[in-house]
Amino acid sequence: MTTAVEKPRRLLPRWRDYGRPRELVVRYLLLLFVLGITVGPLVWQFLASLKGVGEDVFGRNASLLPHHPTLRAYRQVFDQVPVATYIRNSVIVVVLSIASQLLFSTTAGYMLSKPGWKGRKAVWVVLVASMMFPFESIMVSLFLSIRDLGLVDDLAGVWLPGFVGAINVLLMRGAFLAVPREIEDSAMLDGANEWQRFRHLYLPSAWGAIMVVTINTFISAWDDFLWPLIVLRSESHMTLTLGLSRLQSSSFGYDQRVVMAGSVISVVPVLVLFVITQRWFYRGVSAGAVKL
Amino acid sequence: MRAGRLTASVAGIIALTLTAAGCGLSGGSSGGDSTAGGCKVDKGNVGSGKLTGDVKGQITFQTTNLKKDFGDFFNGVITSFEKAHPGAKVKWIDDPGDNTFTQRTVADAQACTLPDVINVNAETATALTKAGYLLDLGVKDPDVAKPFVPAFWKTSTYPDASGKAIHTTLPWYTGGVLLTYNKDLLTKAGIDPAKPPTSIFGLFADYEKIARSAKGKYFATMANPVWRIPGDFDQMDIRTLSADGRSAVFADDPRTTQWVAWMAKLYKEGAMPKDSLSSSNDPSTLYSQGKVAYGSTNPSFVRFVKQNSPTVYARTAVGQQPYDALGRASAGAPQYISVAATSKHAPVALAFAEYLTDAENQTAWCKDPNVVIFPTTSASLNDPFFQNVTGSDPFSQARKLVADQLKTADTNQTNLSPAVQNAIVAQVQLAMQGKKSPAQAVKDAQAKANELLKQAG
Amino acid sequence: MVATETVKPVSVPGAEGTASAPGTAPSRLRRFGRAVLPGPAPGANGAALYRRWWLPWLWTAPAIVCAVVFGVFPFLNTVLLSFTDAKPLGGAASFVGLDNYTRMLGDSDFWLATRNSILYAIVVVPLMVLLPLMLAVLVEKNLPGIGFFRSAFYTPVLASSVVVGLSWQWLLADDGLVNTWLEKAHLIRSAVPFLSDSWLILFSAMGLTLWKGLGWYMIFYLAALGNVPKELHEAAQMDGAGTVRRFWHITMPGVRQAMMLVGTLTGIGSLRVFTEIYMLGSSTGGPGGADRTLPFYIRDVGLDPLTGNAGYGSAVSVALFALTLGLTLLAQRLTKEDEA
Repeated sequence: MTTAVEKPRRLLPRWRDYGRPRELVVRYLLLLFVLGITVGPLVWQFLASLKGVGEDVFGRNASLLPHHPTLRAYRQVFDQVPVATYIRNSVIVVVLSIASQLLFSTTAGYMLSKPGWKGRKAVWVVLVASMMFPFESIMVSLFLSIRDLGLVDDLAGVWLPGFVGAINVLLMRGAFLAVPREIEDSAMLDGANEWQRFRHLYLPSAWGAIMVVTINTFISAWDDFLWPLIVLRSESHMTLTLGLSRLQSSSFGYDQRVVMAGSVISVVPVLVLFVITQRWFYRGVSAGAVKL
Repeated sequence: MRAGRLTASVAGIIALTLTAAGCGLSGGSSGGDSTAGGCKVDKGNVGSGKLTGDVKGQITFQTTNLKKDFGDFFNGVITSFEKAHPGAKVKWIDDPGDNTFTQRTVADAQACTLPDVINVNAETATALTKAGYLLDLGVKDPDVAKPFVPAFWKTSTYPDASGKAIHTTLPWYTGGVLLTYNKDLLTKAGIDPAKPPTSIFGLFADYEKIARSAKGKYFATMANPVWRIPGDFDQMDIRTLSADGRSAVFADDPRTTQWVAWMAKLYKEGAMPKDSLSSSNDPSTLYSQGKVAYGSTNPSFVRFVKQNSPTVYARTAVGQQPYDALGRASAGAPQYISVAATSKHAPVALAFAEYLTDAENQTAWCKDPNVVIFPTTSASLNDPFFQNVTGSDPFSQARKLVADQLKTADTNQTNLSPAVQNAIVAQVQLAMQGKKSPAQAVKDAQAKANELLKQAG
Repeated sequence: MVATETVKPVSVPGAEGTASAPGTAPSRLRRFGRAVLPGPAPGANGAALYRRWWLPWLWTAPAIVCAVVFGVFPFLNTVLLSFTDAKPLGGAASFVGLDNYTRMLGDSDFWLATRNSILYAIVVVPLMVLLPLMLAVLVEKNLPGIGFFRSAFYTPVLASSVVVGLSWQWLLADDGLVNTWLEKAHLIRSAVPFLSDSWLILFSAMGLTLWKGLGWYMIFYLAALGNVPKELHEAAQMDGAGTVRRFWHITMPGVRQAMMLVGTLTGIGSLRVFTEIYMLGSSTGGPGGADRTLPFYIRDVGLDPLTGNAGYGSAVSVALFALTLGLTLLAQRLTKEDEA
């Protein structure tokens, strides 16, 4: 961060400090282009969910903006399915998942990053191997295991098969590997034992990876559809994505606006969470303190 | 050093899990007890005796995607049943009924957690009966057939593991098939909306007329053959499967090739949107926008149009299904209610199943103004509500036509497993794209279907 | 992925000072009184680090249990099944030896599905390794409003399959947005059959995978980019290197480990693709079933309740696993040679 000549400090950065104007323009154009591609379809969904009954949702004549915006579709969603229950169930699964993933993948990742114990390579092999099996082929076996544990139609049965993700373990391991040895050596010389080193040295320095694991776990637990579909039976246990899918399948026809409204409802909490946490996360990244 | 340790550890893990896996593979029940498909069950549930026992206990009742629209009705049925049978409790769950329904129901059955009373379709019933997971209703209650229309009762038989046909389902509700179309688009093409065609190929000829008058601005119907197979074949009285259901024989009928040739021609001439060839979208959306002239053959589809596009609804008319060679409507199998052989309270389950499907309850439900569904019990069909229909709106018209149809309808539906259906549809799609000749497509379709049917054993 | 030494950047004045992790000021740790015996660095010469041998196992046990019980065990069950003719519904299954495997090798549908899966991996992996990286570089700089862009780019990851399926069908339909714009720009004369031509469906599916993954891997890279010291960039800039040059020679080597991880994950994921094909090509897997990937084929042939042969499906699953393993090892071998 040191440069040859110290610039005089300014309270508010000036545009010029961000770089050459032409570069800025190009950057923003690119950003807007990518924005259109990534967010476009989702914005369209949101706008469609606000459309009134008579307005076309698809087709060439369909306009992007609703002519008579209405929250009717959203009211219908709440009418037709018990959204509050679904959200509560999703939250339960998500909280369980995040807790177990963080706890066990950090500890396992840490141990895997440390040399000097037998069988380390074997454990690594087993973890990587477990990531490679296609879900379709283990689906029925998994269900039978859950059944044997008596967890059918139970949120715990949804949570259990993925309570530690191999990918998260590998992520944490990579993060811990990046901690320079000198720091650890000095900590050891200062008398810190293993657990203390883990808590006060390794965990804080792998903060970025921890955030990544948290966000990733949240999203996959929240969005998961097929596995909850297999395990859960009664409506009072259903998760949000599962419950909202019922809006779409109806032998008597369905209203796309209601489906879109349901999709928006299921995306909003994740989006909110991400917007909140990304500030911490990026702050860490830009300060250079996070190492992956 | 490392390599040796590695192989030793991995080998150890494999040995451990293989042993465990071997235990898992041998299945749940040990010999000696009554079993249904690998699950231990009460003695009374299997075998040839009548089912006896108190109507007491809690059972689960599962419907397919009905809670949204008919919550109040079913809650009412459950309450009155519980009142009539103190000690019996019914827990109602509703399944979304998507395309993984059969798979998940099978997984349930394998785990011995099938709901006690379950709403199944023909395909799922076939699978479950073959594996022995459903109660043989004909044997467990000799009077069970009484309320039902004979034609429907006859279709509710399915082959068990040994191939014998047993009654494992109670017919519940049925919908009939209809032509639904946009009057204006038909008149523009020179078709008289009041005189629907009487053969499938006649219908195809009408599609062609629409293609010519539309000049690409709109279409006649959707392209994906999955909507028509095996429905059209049944209506044309083409045998799709052999009598024992173990091999495909549709290639033996020359009309099959003609049918494929028609589909290819229509696709090429633009009677169908090109991108609907392998799409799972049914006509509903496009029809509501006036982009497609013929809508879904499910009569309740009319309600969908009414809700979503009043302008198109005003131009909608319904017509009788072309009877073609069959001479009557191929209405397909109704929805069924079955009782799980793995039920822990089979007497209650059976009682509830019979209550749900009795004439009174079926009539009450089918009178819901929002749908065009029909009961399968004789007494209900004779109810004036279904017999004397007044009103000229498409809804009422639909009801009248289906009531007429059901008097003589053929409810035998060829049961194709999704894999076999997809295999046949895939070949037809290739013919429609012009990648194969219709004759070759039909031959290949039969070969692939037979390959799959062979491994079914 | 073998543990490698953390790559030490070229020593730049001042770098040491910034490399410390937070919270490690010596004074904090002096609180812990117990002395540690001096000796060789931990694990330096392969010496056992842990006096309590069970400690590492304790810490890794949950992860192992999960991986074995819910990953390895069901899979080994599948391997056993592949030598039988078991049905998805259960019931008696008899051993058929290698019959399923011989059938598989002669099955043209199997080879078609394999081709599709491999093609998927070949196209998607390089793109998924590079594009999110470039995106990360684009959003790394703290311009005003950059937080909004970062969140926005992440939203496709958050969208559920239902949402994504509907949007993309509308976008790619013959009268959809993409075709309408292409026609307006006079680039095409008639609609591009994104949803009815086998090849186009496949490439559209790949596009969908990329679209969904961009935001997620972008975050991944952002964290990795923090590892690349700013001083290197500044030094290179002073030497006159342009943006692209700096990207190739400083950024990319710095995030090499992240790139390897992304590549491996994407490769494994590509071979497991099912949903994208299903959303764009519906239940047949594209017209004529020509777009089916291996998982799709496994489902068709092994899991159908009426005509499924779980034994054969299991054999194909084993083949899929072997393919995944093979590609992963190959990728490892290639990257190792790079580093040598």
